[in-house]
Amino acid sequence: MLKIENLVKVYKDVRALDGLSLEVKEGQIYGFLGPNGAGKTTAILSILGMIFPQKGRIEVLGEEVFNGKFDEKKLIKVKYRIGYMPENATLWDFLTPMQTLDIIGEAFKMSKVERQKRSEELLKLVDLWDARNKKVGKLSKGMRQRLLLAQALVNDPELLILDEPMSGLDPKGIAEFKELIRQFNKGGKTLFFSSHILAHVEEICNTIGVIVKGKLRAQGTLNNIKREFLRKTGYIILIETSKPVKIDLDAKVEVIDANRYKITASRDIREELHDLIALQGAKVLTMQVKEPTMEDIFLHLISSPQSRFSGEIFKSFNHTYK
Amino acid sequence: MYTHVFLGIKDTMQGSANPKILIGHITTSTYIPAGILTLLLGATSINDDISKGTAEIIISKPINRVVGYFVHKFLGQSIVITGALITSTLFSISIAKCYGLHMSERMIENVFLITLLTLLAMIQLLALGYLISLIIRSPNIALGASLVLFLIISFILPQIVENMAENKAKDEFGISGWKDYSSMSYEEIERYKERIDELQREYDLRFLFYAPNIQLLDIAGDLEGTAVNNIITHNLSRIGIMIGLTLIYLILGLAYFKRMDLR
Repeated sequence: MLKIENLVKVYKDVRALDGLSLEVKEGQIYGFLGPNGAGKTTAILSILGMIFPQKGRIEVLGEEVFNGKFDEKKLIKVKYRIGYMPENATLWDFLTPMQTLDIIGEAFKMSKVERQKRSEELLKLVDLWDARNKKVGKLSKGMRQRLLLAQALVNDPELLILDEPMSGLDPKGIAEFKELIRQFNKGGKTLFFSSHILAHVEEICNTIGVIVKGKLRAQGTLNNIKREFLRKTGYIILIETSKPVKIDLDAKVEVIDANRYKITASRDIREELHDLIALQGAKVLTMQVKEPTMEDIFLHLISSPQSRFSGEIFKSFNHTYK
Repeated sequence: MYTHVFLGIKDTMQGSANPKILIGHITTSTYIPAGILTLLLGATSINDDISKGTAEIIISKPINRVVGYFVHKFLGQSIVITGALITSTLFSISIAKCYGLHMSERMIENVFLITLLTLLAMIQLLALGYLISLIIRSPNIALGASLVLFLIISFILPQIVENMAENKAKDEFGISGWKDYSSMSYEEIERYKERIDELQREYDLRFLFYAPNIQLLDIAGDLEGTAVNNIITHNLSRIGIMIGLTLIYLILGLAYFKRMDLR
């Protein structure tokens, strides 16, 4: 659906994209996560041909649109199948939502009847039907965001690219927006969604890519990334036993109190722990692995520049393209 | 737009169609506000779209960034300016007639010719504005810069060139102070004035070829006593420079925009 390989973009002395590689597969909701200034928008604008990277390759919907330079014909061809919602963009204040969608429909060479039908559908979908004849300049921030989403859906895109779509929305607006995204994905459509807000990505996306300083530091499903994080940083296991035991395993053991222990291991040693405790005639009353949150992972990736986690997707990607 | 010009003529000359007065009024009272507005319109055309994100929305759609966006936007704004100029000219003529100003056929021809030349000047300023809007990313800074540029091109540099022409004429006529004027005959003073005019037109073409208002005034100077259809052939170099500069600004802008990062 979308492949980026070794993309480099340098602005004067800032390396905004430093060999970025990622892959989005069909039907995924891909959360493109990174702190402010990590290169998220630069990557998105490169995909759309608005920014000229110096190096790399971009393949969208099976078409190689960039390989050192843009192929304008292919780029225009794939834009018929892409929807894009920019961050904090202003639509034309003097138009109504209906007129806005009509103009966007014209860009896709849709007939007047098609435009009218699609505009009605979308305005109902984003709950702007009642405000269809109001000037855009008079709409609230949330309504304008919904209209921005609607304009990205005019061509019923196969790939929807959203750049920080929920920034500036109130909690109600965010909840509505998330629901719209889920509805869109239900039809098997692919979403590429950038954000610096962890909770949004964690809740909506089934695949995550973390970009830091123009490089992808992690990619995969949330579970894969968490597993990888635990593998690299160590598993923290909290256990409570029926009587004091001696834990003689390749792990750091801290005694919290008489029968409770905190064990830090480089791998998942829960089964070995069970066996060891049983051998000593004790019972495991409770055992839990401390789950890392997305925030733990994100902060770890930002603070340690060399860290790089990968889930299955990233591994296969590396295998194919390295 | 021109109504007050016509009424001014009516008040002072009662229906006279003296083109020099007409043109003088039009270029000073119409060109300046219309020119500033046009330059400002151009200077915020692209950068404002980029800063508001509307350029991102448009170019994310299947349209060519050069033809579909830049050229169409320029043509659209040019059509609006053309429509505004022609409509306001027709409206002004109607108002002037309502107020009882006699307008000869020649006067109407002159007004339309000047409107077309003003339009050419406006398109040149619009193209210059586009170039500014591509170079200066902040719309507010671009507004200020284009205003300053307009003042320099339209007032400061012409004044400097006018002084140059006058000094050269003074040298040629051996005038060094006020007392030299009193010793000159009427014919000498007339020849001296003609020489200043001649030098100024020459210098305008050489040093102020980029100032559309100056070219407009020089072309307008030919209106008196010249058939309308001959004015263009008499001023091909000046009209050519106006069209040529417009094309140069546009080509530079297009070349820059084609490779420009839109953020």
